[in-house]
Amino acid sequence: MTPSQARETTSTTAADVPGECRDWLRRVADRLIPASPTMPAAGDAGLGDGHLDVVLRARPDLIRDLVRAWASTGELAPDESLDELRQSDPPAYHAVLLIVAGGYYTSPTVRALLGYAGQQPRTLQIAGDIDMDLLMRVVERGPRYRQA
Amino acid sequence: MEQADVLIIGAGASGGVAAGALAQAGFDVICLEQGNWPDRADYPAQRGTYELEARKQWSGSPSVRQNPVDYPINDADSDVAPLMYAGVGGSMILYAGDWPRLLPSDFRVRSLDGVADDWPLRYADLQPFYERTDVAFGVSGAGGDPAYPEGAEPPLPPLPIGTMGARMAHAHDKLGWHWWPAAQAVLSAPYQGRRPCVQFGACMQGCPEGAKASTDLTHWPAAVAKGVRLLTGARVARILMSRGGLATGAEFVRPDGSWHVVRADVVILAANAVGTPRILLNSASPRHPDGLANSSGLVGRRLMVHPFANVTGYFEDDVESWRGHVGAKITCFEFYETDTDRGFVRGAKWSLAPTGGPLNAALPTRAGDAVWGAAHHEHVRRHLGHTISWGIFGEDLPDEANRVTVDAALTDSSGIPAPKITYAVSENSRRLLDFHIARATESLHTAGAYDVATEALMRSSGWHLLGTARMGTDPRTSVVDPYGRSHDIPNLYVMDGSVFVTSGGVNPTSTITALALRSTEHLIASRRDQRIPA
Repeated sequence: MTPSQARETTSTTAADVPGECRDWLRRVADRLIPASPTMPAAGDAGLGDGHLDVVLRARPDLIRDLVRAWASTGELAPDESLDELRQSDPPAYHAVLLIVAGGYYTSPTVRALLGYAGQQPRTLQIAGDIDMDLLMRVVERGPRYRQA
Repeated sequence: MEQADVLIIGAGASGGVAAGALAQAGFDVICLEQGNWPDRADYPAQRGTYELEARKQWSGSPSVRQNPVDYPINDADSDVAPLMYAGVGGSMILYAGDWPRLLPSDFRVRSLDGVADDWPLRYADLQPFYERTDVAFGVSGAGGDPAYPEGAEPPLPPLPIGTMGARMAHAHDKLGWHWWPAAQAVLSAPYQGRRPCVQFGACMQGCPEGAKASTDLTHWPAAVAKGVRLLTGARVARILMSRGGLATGAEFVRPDGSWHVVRADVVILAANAVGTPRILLNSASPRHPDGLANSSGLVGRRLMVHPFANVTGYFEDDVESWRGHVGAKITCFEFYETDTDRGFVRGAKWSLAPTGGPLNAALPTRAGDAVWGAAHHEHVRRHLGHTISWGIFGEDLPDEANRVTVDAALTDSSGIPAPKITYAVSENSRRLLDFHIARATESLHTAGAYDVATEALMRSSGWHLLGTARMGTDPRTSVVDPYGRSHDIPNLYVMDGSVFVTSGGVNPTSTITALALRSTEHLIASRRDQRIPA
């Protein structure tokens, strides 16, 4: 399917997103989050291996904007696509940013490299980390409220 | 047709408190709640897509969330977007759990500072109710805070303040400024059958442990066990009136589109400061052309929302900034009281908060478009785990031009007219925030921040909706009396944040629940004098 053919279709689930759209998104993603000496590019880590589907299953509302972004700018070079979207279709532009960043930072590979394990439970230390000497100095400075 | 002694509209913070007290006193109570029971198993904290879902399904904005139970709000003419949640527990499901009280001066701003109005009660009148709601909700904190008058300590010890709290405590010690472990409606230890906080850092998308207090956990189970009938998926369109000028119940619609009426001797509105005026105004009729309880013309007016700023410090070392409870590690009341040399009146409370996970680091709204391309990884490295934010809640003085009205065209999915919000940030608020941002920047630099970023007057910060049916003793200048009873309709009560006379500069849920308990107990105590429909 070409971008111009996609203008005639409607995608409502992650499985409906055409392969060509996925390929375009990976190229765009690599411009937004390129590889660094220590981190992979977004096209490799966040949007490959079916991870795009993880993102779109969590946020199916983004599919329509994604497909529209590809349909309207997929024939341009990645930098030109992004410039055009930013100027002509901000909702689609921001959807692409969110999909790319969302895919990247939900990737287990990327999370491991960042040392981020997700919002995990921890053992609670009740008031164990409060310096009572500091707290007493607040008290010693006296009341802060106005009598009323 | 359902019938009850008391009808409560809304099962959130104040509705839950009112239902609990009324059930305890033996009243026959029915509550209509537009949303559903929350399912903690559905909360997203432990899913890998947590941060993605937080921006849609678990957003605080009904306009973003677009759940079937949400009603739309026209906020095109508002500087601040309203945030709320529909369901049993109400907006407590998504609040941060920050639980400060108003200060004594907040009740006397006309007398002390010559602005706005005094409340018809003082801090000392509300203090016993604050202390009882602290126990009911399970508040963690440290007694003896010199920002407040003496009183009972919170029932539970404070939550950990973490690396970031300890760092800022040392900075404020150096500056000689106030700081204190924040009072939080989050359990630091097992309490009344609930489990303590495990520091998920996801409070604002629902607490999966049930450690954060909300009335679906703290009040409704006991109220229902005592016989309160809680109807979920019941969206109220209007309050019904007798020819004699008393409320007789309400008309509501179910998700299947069927319309129903419930009758009651007393009606309590607990639908928040947008939902309550919406219902009162939507109840207009030829006998009440301006809506109900509106002889003062103040229903919907004086909306206050707490203009908000975030001041974020960047640190070289790891300050664990995606971890821990979200509401506040520590608070600062150093600049809360008026100092006219600053060029404005009143002040603000600061709350020290974590800054979230990697997606939040990659997409902070303050970063603009400069975060993409080769600089992206450095941008995220600087932010993730290395940032601390002071959240600044500035007092919002009442202005009758800031208001909730009924939109002329917009409706919810049931065809009920939706609310429209008109709100402009005042010059006093702008000066207030500018001053506090400068002081918070100083605080963060003292703590060792090598850089500071500011997000002032955040649009999506309208959690604290207050003032649209203010209390007072004069029917010409207030909607309800000091116990929430309508001056115009003696069996109609308002018990949510609508009744606030002024906003103070603190998170309001503690005060909303204390006021609801006080008003409900007054209703119970004066039951023999209560006028009811024939």
